[in-house]
Amino acid sequence: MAEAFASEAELVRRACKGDTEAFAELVGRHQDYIYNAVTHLVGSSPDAEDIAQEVFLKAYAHVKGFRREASFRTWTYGIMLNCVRSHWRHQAKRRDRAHWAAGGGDDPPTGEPAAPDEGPLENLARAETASAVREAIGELKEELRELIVLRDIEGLTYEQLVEALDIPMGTVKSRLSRARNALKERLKAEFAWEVRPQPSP
Amino acid sequence: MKCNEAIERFSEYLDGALPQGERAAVEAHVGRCAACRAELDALRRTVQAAAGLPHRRAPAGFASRVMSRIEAGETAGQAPGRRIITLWPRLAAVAALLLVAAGVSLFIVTRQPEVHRFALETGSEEKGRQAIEAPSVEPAAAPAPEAAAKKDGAQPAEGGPGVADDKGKESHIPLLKREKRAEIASHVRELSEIKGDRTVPDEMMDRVASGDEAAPEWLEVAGQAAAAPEPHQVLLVRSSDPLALAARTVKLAEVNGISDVQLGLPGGRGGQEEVEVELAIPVEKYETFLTQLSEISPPDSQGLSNTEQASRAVYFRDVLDRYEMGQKARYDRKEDMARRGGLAGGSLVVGSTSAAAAPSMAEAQDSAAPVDHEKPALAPAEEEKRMAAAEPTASAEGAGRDDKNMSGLADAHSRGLKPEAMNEAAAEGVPAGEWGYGGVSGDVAESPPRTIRLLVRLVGKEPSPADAMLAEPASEAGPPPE
Repeated sequence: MAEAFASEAELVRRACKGDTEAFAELVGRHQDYIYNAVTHLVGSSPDAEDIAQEVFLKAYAHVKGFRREASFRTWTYGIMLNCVRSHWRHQAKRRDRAHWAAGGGDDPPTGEPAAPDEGPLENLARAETASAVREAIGELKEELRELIVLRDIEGLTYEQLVEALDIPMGTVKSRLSRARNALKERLKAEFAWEVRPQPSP
Repeated sequence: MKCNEAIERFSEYLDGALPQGERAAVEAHVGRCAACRAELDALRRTVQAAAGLPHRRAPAGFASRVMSRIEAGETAGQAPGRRIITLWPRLAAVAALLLVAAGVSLFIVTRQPEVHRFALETGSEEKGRQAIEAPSVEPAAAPAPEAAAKKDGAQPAEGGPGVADDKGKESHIPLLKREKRAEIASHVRELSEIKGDRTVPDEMMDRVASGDEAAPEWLEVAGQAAAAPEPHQVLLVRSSDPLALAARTVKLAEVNGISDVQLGLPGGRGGQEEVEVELAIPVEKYETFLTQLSEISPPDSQGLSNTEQASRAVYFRDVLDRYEMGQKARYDRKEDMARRGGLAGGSLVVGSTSAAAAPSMAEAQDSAAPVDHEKPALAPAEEEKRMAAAEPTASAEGAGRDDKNMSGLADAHSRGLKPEAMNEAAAEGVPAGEWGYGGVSGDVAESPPRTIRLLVRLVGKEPSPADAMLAEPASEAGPPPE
């Protein structure tokens, strides 16, 4: 780990001097994280790759502003959030309800969880598929979706979340809790989880 | 500790982030409160479900595409505009190849199909000139996508090409700079020579290359795509040469007298070639068309002729996903259909026709009826629904009013697949007789459609990450990165 970090710092240092090969190496190392996170945030539309590319273009343009003591990965997550939010703002102007359902992404954010759009039969039909989980995540309010994607899918620590989201630790914790509970309510319906009393430990 | 105090700590508790004292208090509480224990369990499963999602890898060639943009001196924010320009020669090539064959309006859907649709008016020079003369843009001065983005008032980074139509009124945006034409023309020539496919007369290409005013000016924004009818059925075809197959599909349409043909290039998802051909096919011609389409497909195409992966590749994409909620009710048989097709994934529905699909389609139509629908029409619909629910195999009758469409379609689908498909189907536990595509939805209205809108998506061989995910849902839950 220490060696990888040192090497990353070296790559960043070279990239700051305009070494595109070094930056290409950084892209290669981080592209999967970013792409995965973007697809979970905006859906796997063709936009996803564009947004992910944009993240690295921005990273390259601003690599000199990167604080060396920070993690490059966390830093690029922060850039990614900016790109994704900008995409959302744009999409908000032209919402197309059908689009998310068709797999394209950009669901209109629903302020509250559990928009009862779908009947129980449909929920059953979708049960236990990753797509159902992805869809439930996609239905979350955007600021909550960010927390689920970064914490539970991408595995960032609380400290990294503070950095990437640029919000205080208390907000990270409370928002993450809200996000998980909102997702839980959706998945409960989706999977027909029985909320039955558990045996005492 | 009270229930609400415990519940608001569950998230941190699961992350092991609570101080020792609070942790003990939470554990003590759930030890004696069954309801909170259940909530905690549900929350744990939620976190696990999210953490267990398969990770998508960046598409092949991602890094090199990023680097080539960086090396081209692109800065962040120019992205979409540049993107479409680099796409354009290929797009133009396909379009030009098909100009003569189609003899109809073609549409080019950019990679933001929900927003725009570019019309390619082969016969309408007048519209072409309108495009050039559109006052709101400066065709010669700026690359059109940027102009479009400016007009939209959005930042270029967000605007995307041709995002010019916030108000939905028709506007004309010449995407094709005149100086680009020579380049495109030579590209088209090259492509048509490679393919041995001289569908584009030299004369036309010369006119295009020379910037002749009378040559077709191809692009205009023709309103918003949202207004376009949704396809009833989607075929996904993998081919080593999707562009060529698209050309053949359009020619086939011409041969069959199908005049409503649209061509779309949704964009280089994962760097693959991807083309969409959308056709409005009269019901009576649909069967023939599908059969012929399977015959003209190259042997290596998957989804039409080589059906090794037909169950994944050819699907009926869902109308359900695309239509209004009321019509989604036909999903109620989806688990059955998915099981028959050996599929668990979201939108793939393959492997049953009359027995399963027909009643569900009948229901789709029923539920499509607006709430305030007149009673006489609604009552029999509900009866059909009950029949369908009570006795699936008998309820093919439920689709009675659609018989003309549906039975023909089922046959067409079955014939469209070669015998290997049947074997594959049998191997997967699907009765051969029931093999076919999912079926076709009813029209948005209550009456059966007179034409079937078929969307043929032709993609390159390499499966995109999204498709791979669809093919193998959930089972490949990778560990989270580091």
